[in-house]
Amino acid sequence: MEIIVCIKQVPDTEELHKVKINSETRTLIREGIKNIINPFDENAIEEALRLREKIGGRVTVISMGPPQAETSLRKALAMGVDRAILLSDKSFAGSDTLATSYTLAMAIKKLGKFDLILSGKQAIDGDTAQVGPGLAEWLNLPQITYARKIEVNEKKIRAERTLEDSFELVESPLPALITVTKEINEPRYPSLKGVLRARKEKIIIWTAKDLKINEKRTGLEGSATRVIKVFTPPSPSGGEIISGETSKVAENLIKKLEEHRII
Amino acid sequence: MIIKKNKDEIISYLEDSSNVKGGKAETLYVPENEKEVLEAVKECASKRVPLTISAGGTGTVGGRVPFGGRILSVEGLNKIICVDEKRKRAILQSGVIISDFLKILEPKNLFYPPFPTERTAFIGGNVATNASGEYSFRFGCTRKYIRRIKVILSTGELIEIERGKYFASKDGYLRIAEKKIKIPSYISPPIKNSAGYFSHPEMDLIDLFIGSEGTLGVITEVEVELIPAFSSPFIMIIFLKEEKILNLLGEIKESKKISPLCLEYFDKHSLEFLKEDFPDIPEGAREALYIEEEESEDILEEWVNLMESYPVIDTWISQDRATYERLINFRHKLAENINNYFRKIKLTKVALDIAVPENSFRELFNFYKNIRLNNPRIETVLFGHIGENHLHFNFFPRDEKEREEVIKIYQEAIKKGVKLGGTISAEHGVGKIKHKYLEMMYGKKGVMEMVRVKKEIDPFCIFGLDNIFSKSLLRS
Ligand SMILES: Cc1cc2nc3c(=O)[nH]c(=O)nc-3n(C[C@H](O)[C@H](O)[C@H](O)COP(=O)(O)OP(=O)(O)OC[C@H]3O[C@@H](n4cnc5c(N)ncnc54)[C@H](O)[C@@H]3O)c2cc1C
Repeated sequence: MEIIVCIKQVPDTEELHKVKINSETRTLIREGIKNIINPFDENAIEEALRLREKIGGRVTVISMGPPQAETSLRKALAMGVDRAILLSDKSFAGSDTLATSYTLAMAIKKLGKFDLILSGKQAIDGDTAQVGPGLAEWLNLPQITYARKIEVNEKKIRAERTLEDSFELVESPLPALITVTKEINEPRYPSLKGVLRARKEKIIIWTAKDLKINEKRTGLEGSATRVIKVFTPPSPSGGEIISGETSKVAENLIKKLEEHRII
Repeated sequence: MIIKKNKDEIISYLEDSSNVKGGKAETLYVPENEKEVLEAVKECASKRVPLTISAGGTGTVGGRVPFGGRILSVEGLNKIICVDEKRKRAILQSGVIISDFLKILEPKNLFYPPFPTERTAFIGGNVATNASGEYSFRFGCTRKYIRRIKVILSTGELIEIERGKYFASKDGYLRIAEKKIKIPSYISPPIKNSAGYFSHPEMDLIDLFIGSEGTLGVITEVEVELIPAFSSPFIMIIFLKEEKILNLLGEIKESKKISPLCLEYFDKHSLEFLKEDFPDIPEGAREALYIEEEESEDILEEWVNLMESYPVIDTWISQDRATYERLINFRHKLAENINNYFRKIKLTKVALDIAVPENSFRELFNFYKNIRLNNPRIETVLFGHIGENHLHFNFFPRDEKEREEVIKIYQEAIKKGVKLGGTISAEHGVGKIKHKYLEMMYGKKGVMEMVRVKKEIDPFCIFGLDNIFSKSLLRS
């Protein structure tokens, strides 16, 4: 089975508060911020590896991003994927979900035959959940989003699709695109041999030229949406620290709570 | 000076991380400078009132639990006086919280290697117990990094002891202020050790105070040595499907190409305690080794080579902060889960904390294994700092009868450890719970020598009563 996993490098959740906004270009300033694989994408990698372990085949990871996204691809290699491809080109910069899914689709076309595309349900930085579905559209594939469990047999895939308070059981022919939730599995830790191999393995890098891309469809130019304004919301002010002797503090606190009719 | 007499303001100072019960005290002093410490000490000395020194309360042997008298908390002495980046030294008041200190050092690219695992401990508590943390396998214990201390004695003197200045004379006398004090005749084992006063021919005076568990005076200031920060380490957990750890350990220690920060052992029962938090622990894993080291290709290659001929089922490696934090829990969660289990079955744990010299470790390890073989009914768990030949062997007696059996086994093990040239307490100290075992280690004579030293330095016998030895011995 030929499995492709699309992953994105995102700022480490612990570092999100450090991410500043460039109000001129209306983009996030990511310099000096530690990065991780988008957590849901890690679940997608894990699921791909489990499928390969069960029915054999090959797992290819693709990421579009700046050169430093390589570290995330290396981690995927350390987890055990067979090959990693980075789509990196100045002209890709500023892509919205439409342009990103187009660029990824072009790379997947270049790869040729495949059976399954997996990705996380959404990236934790943009939170749009649109790249997966967009990709399915560009490739004219059936899609199942928010999968919390999947099963593959012969030419079909069956997925439990998470809904608000229940789940749907959906079946689709292959090839198909699936986006997964956190519940689907617990991503494995890289192994020693995996890490060593990942350090030595070559990461394949494809540019716009390699993809024979219509440059009007990628990057800022290929984006259908424009960010008009980005800002950091003001942090809530107020708050009061009551200090002093414990018993006085307690008394004082109760008085205040009563004053504000909280108790 | 803040003085508290209100019961509910004192109550949290009556316990630590041990299960020692019965803590009580009438007054709590919270001095904010040395002058106020001196005032409190003088007052207690003049009235002969016991004074227990209290720090972060993370101690595991009841050291700061007062059995009457008053408490002096050093929490107000919390200033980091200076960090000298050039000389790689820092001067701290004794109430500085270790985690705060480490945070200050981070942007300066400096590091304090012997930090204890529980980072809410204070630097003063760290020195008073000679506690040493997870990286002591590579860097050595606390003692090594303490350059100077200031101590207030019950005689009202404030003394400053710099390492390398005051040694015991050839005939075994240390000088403190105007007094000549004969050092104990026993020699502390040259291994990780926190049992009783340190003693060694021509020893440095500072080493007597390090690890003295609050029985000699109040440490008010500490100067420590720092090292350059190193790049963030990775964690690797190696799962073995046969019990081959000792051989693997031997090869790791001999290798010149690697230098782990720590080597931690987990037996099969430890892995069971972790199953809930780490459901992917491979089936059939009999043992695991946890290491931390800086990452490089050569180092990883060497690890692959070392493991070549061992029955390794799986290895887990952290590759970023998120996985590092998940894997560090492998170590932290174990102690927590064990303690929760004890609490649930409502039993206090019986825990061995023996360390022995390198060449005796195999014998101790096999001795532990035999204990298990011969007592298959008794639940046990074996884990810890195997790099330093120091394991925690915990017993879970189910009822009184089993408890009695366990106590017997425990004493046998202590005897064995001592016979092998080891210590009964490698890191947690003696406190209020291991008096009997200290006596097994140094004999009645050794303990009485400690009592003599204490009485000479603290003639009013106010500090840390019942720590290290029973206060009843002070009357003799
Ligand atoms: C989860 C956990 C993990 C731990 N891990 C380790 C470990 O890896 N290695 C290790 O060695 N220990 C470990 N410990 C034990 C504990 O952290 C150490 O003993 C610790 O350094 C004690 O510091 P503290 O500030 O909490 O002291 P406290 O518990 O408040 O006091 C300890 C003793 O020191 C005396 N003392 C404190 N301050 C002074 C002072 N200024 N002057 C004179 N005497 C003083 C007290 O009187 C008392 O006898 C652990 C404990 C816990 C709860």
